[in-house]
Formats: sequence, C-alpha cells, structure tokens
Amino acid sequence: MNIPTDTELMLQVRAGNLDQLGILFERHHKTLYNFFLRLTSSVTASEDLVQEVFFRMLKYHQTYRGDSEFTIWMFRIARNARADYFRKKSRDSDKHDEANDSLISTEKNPGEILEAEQDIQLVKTALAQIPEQDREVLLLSRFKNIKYKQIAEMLECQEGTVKARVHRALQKLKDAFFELSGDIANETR
Amino acid sequence: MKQDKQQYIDQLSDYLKGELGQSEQEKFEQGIAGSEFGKDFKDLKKVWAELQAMQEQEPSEGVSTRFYAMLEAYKAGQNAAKPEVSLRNVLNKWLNQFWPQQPVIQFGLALALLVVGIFFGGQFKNGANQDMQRLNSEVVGLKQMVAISLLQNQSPVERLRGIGYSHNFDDPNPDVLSALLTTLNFDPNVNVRLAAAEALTPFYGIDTVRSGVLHSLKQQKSPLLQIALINVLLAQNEKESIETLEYLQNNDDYDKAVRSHAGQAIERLK
Repeated sequence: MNIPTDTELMLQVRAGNLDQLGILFERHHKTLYNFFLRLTSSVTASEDLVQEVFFRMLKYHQTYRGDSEFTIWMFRIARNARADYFRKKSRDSDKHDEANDSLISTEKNPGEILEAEQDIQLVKTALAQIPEQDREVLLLSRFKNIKYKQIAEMLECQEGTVKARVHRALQKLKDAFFELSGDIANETR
Repeated sequence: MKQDKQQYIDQLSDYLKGELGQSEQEKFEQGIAGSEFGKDFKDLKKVWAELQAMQEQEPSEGVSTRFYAMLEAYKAGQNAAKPEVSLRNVLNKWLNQFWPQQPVIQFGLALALLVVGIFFGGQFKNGANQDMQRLNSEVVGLKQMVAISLLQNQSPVERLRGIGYSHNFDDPNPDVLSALLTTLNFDPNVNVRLAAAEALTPFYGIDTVRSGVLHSLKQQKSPLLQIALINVLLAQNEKESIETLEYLQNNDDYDKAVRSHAGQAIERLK
C-alpha cells in the first residue's frame, strides 16, 4: 500500500476529510515544536504555537492549493503564527511567562554544563544570542528534507539570498559559540 | 584552486547541507584547504555539526490532547452548520406521500387515533411505570449534575466531555443551559466555546438560549465562533438577528470573512 504524501493528505483535508489532519499532525508536530522552541526559548509559547498552526490549517484548509509542497505551506503558516503571537503578546505587555518559562538560559553558567554535552549546550546558548532572523534561517536550513529552494519560497526571496543569509547567520553563530567557548576555557583554567 | 568569496559562500552552503555530490564535495574540500577561507571553513563546519547534533525535544502530551480536542470540536461545529440530512428527515419525506393532504381528513384521522389511544391506554394501570419514571428522572438529574461539574473543570478536555454529556439530554434543566451559555461566552478555550455553541443549538427554541446566543454573537472575539453562531442563527431563520448581523457586516473591527458571512446571512434571512 502506498503511503500518502503530505500534499495528498492535505488535499484530502481540503476535500472535507478532516481526520487526515491527524496524520499530518503526527508527522510534523514535533518538528514544528522544536522549530518554535529554538526560536522562542519558551515551552509554553512553542506548545501554543503548534496548536495555533494546526488550528489555522483547519481554518484555512479550503485555501490549500496543492501547487507548492505542504511543508512550505506549513512553515509559512508557522512564521505568520509566530509573528502574530508575539505581536499580540507585546500588545498585552505580558512577557513575564516567557521569561519565567525560558528553556534556554542565555546566562552563562559553565560550571553546570556537563563536559560531554558542553558543545551542544554552547551552540544552544549561542543560538539564543544571535538575532531572531538569523536564528530562523539557520533553523530552517537545519532540516535535511528542506532544500534552499524551498526556504527561498517560504521567505519569498532568491535561493542565492538564502545561502548568503545562512552564511551570515552561521558566522554570527560561530562568533557567539567561540566567545562562549573562550569564556569557559578561561573559567576552568 | 583560487576561490572568490561569492563562489565560496555558494559552495559552502551546498556542502554543509549535503546538496553537493560526492566528487564535488571532495573537490571543494581540496580546493578550500590551502585557500584564504580554510580556517573559516573549519570553524563553520564545526558549528554546523553542533547545530545538527542538537537533539529534538518531545512536547508534552497536552499538545496532542489539545489538537485532537480541537479537531473534534471543529468537526462538531461544522456538522452543526450543515443542513440536517438525517434518517428522520428522509423517513418523514417518504411518509408524507402517504399522508392525506386535506385538513378535514387529517383532523378526522387524528381524532380516530386519539379515541383508539384512550381506549387502549386505559387498559394498562401502571404503578410500575411510575416507579420507572421516577428512577429515570433521578438518573437524568444526576447526569445533569455531572455535566455541570465537568463544565467547571480546569481542563479544557474535561469541559469538552461535559459538553458531550449535555448532548444526552432531551430536556436539560436551566442550570445546564446556564452553564453552557456561560461556557459559550467566557470559556478561555475557543474549541470549548465552539462545542458549547453546537450543544446549545438543539435548545434554541428555549427563550434563555435564544437570547443568550443572540447576545453572544457581538461578544465573541474569535472569527471561527462568530461564523459558527451566524450559522446557528441562519439554521433557526432568526430574523431578529439581522440588526446584529448588520452591525458585524459594517464594522471594520471584525474579520473580513466574518463580515462577508454576515452579509450573506442577511441576504438569506431577509
């Protein structure tokens, strides 16, 4: 039996078979959650945003055209949902929960970082320190099944621009990473 | 091999993402080794590897629970908005063709059935039936209490269960209806409010429900819910809602889809 592609499933949802969205949820909610988690550093916000993305898929299921890949459509919704979420949050001046809920501390506490996990922890911390736009393009390019061409479609720019942005973001990440590594080396010396 | 910066950026991006073929990869590595970008390449490759090594984290189970509750609520909302094509309707339509069309014959037939009913009904004295009725009403009362208590639960899933429970009542008591109306207006979860709207629809004939639903439309902030309530009003052919619908249609604060839907509803109700 052929396993239906994401696009085929979404076309079925569009035709009114809403239960098929459950399969798409099972396939993608973890990816989306981690995308939001790295982007926002907040568990609560990330879980809310996953819910919001699938809610918007339901709400706008009839607008899905199927001429671009489902993943591109999903990440476009995800980016809009995130922008709206934080616009609303800043309007409500209710930022305390994100601060309390922060998963990735930007404070450096090298003593608490286990040596084996040190570099991964460092890259997470470094990632939280670079500008959000850079973080976003790096997180998207990190997914193996998403090509630069698709990222370019999501961000509505040229493929060459995406590559240049990835390179620039990676440079910033590298600087933050090695700065943190240097701090740890100095403190443990 | 001499590389210019733009070429380096292009190839590096493809290299890191694995979009270069095996031979192109080797060629790139050899070319970069002795070039001015050698150190940069080494550092970026390390940072990229760390980025790839970050492990995915599992969201809490609540994410799945909330999604499936939302999906069910959405489906329930959609079904409520659809015109009813039930077995009862089909059966009624079929029986209609045998039913006499002339009022005089209809009246005579109804009278004859009444006389037959009274005659046979008198044959059965029913003490046992009274006990059964009392027991039934106690069970129904108990169920209604459970429904109210679930509607006040902190968990949206439990509140949805409470709403599901209320579907079992043919004649819910005023407390259940009031709890459902409170849920419709004030529940923080849009999916729960949506399910409450659907649960209230069968009782639209009751005055408190009717005025509650009419009042709620202006109060709702979610476009999805506004559309669901407009559908309820349409299904009930509620002409008194025209004024509210016009308010929605002409107010820029409301979602474009809601305003358009309100406009269509006005056309159909007029």
